[in-house]
Amino acid sequence: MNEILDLIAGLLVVAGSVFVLAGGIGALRMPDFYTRIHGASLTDSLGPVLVLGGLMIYAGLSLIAVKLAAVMLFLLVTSPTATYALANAALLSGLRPEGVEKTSTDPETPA
Amino acid sequence: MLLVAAIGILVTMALALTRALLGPSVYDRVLAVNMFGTKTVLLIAVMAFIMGRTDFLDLALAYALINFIGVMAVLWFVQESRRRQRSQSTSEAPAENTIE
Amino acid sequence: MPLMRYLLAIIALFAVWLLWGGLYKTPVLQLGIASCALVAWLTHRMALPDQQEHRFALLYRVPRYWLWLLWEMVVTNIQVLRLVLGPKSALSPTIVDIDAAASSKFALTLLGNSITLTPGTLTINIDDTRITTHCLTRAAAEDLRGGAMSRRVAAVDPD
Repeated sequence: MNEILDLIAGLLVVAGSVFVLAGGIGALRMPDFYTRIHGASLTDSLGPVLVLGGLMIYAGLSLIAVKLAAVMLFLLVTSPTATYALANAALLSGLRPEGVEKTSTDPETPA
Repeated sequence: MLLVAAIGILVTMALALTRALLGPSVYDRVLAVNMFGTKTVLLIAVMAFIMGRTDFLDLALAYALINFIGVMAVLWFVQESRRRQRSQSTSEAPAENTIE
Repeated sequence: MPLMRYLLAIIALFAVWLLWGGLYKTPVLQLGIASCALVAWLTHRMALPDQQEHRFALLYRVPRYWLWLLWEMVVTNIQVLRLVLGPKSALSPTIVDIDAAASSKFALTLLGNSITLTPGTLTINIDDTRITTHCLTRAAAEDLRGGAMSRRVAAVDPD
């Protein structure tokens, strides 16, 4: 039983690191700044959830799991905020996205 | 298996550093440094379990806090220096991607 | 009601303090409560006091939304994983505005952060009436304009 749980936890952590690694590759090979953010945000969404979630299964029900949950919650709240601040600062400074089609001029944008 | 994950995260940190060195704009560098920071948090968490020293998790949280505040501070600095530059040279066309 | 705010802030801070403290002796606990009260007071002085009411209904609505968001993250992560490793010709960056005129500040924040948190879509500007997003592909942009996420957020915070 314990071995199975450990195996699941290990698989989750490795899956998370695969997403993180793919995000790193994306941040390196995407063509322009805004698409690179998409690559980097890959490392900020499911990667931490899987890695820290897997570690929580390793830890079992304990104070360590609560701490891991706190770290995960903090990362999930702050990383989109930091990303938004970064993208917004770049936009305001006049850095234009490349090769973009703008579909927002339609009068009836669904809410 | 944890070791595999730790190596994966380390490689990602190396990729982030490469992006930070390549640039080309400041924002790319800030993005890469932010990425490096959040990956450090994950690496500390995984290493805590590999080494069996779960008190490292406190460091992970402290690092997450410092990283977030650090990125905000750098962004504020970049925006402020740009604003100052723009107000100095209002006659010129607005500079695009000039700061490396 | 500032007293209620102070009290909630101190309770929340002290919970975190207890979690990370690990040393539970009376003088240390007293010091902890004192430092929590100091931090609550400093925060109150430093930031603009938020205008929102405390709505405890959010306590059970938000976790339900998170579960849905987690599933959404799994789906979009796999999509973006393919895009990142695939050819660059598959990318079709698109900018889309989302109407958010009816939203409260909390709903606006939640929606903006959720959009950024799901890879493939990214919030680049927020004003009071709309959210401007950058999407990696046309398909992701169409999904966003379909408004499933906006409706979920509106259900979390109906005001």
